[in-house]
Amino acid sequence: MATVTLTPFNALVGFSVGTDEFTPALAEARFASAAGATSEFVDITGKVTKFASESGYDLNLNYAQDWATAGSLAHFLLAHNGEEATVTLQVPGGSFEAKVTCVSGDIGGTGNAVATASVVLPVKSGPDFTASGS
Amino acid sequence: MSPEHHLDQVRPAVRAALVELLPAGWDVKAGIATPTTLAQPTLYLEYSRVDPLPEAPLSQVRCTFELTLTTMLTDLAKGEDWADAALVDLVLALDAHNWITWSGAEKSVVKDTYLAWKVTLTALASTTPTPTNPEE
Repeated sequence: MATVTLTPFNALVGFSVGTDEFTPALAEARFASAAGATSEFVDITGKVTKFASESGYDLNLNYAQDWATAGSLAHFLLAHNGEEATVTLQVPGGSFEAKVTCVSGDIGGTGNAVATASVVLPVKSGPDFTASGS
Repeated sequence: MSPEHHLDQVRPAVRAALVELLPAGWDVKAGIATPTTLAQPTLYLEYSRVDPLPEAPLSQVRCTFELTLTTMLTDLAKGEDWADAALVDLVLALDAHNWITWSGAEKSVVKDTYLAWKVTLTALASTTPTPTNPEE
């Protein structure tokens, strides 16, 4: 059996929505796996058979708020709350593209600390991987 | 974020911000300096540390400064009265600032003569290349 080598990497490489790149604002951009529904069947001998549907994804974003810059990620999510957007997450070797529904994040924060926000955007379709150079 | 907060200009930017916040007549030194005989209230600004900002690690850093606020008064009792009152002015000014904050102050004596407060400041700075036209 061949040994498959590992090339780990430091996230985060790049994150953009449409044509705007928001990487500088982000502490985390992650397509988080959300397990599909499962059910189990027990036959008369007691044997358990498990059925599971395909898993889905949520897009987790942790970012720093910026209301001074027009077109910041915070402004974008507020302006497009509930709307569909195409996002691209770059990784070494390629990129993932997905359609998500925008969710507006927190506004304001703790005294004398950097104002942040954390949102979970449901992924409607994708993420689909495209190898770089292809 | 404006270019004044860029990491390569953070020390002059913090000094300029402090000069703006503080009463006229306070001497804000631009960097590491050896205390000499003082003629006026003096602030020594020592740029001591840079850390990635966890909230936006790919574009921002948190710069730490040790600020020493000294009086020119050599009488310790008078010096303490002045320094304690001056510290209140300084921290109130810092609390109102949106990219500089402070995390603690400790009383000390400079050159065995001048009463002082050592204040730890942190300032946010950008590491992304400065755009040629910020409006774009």
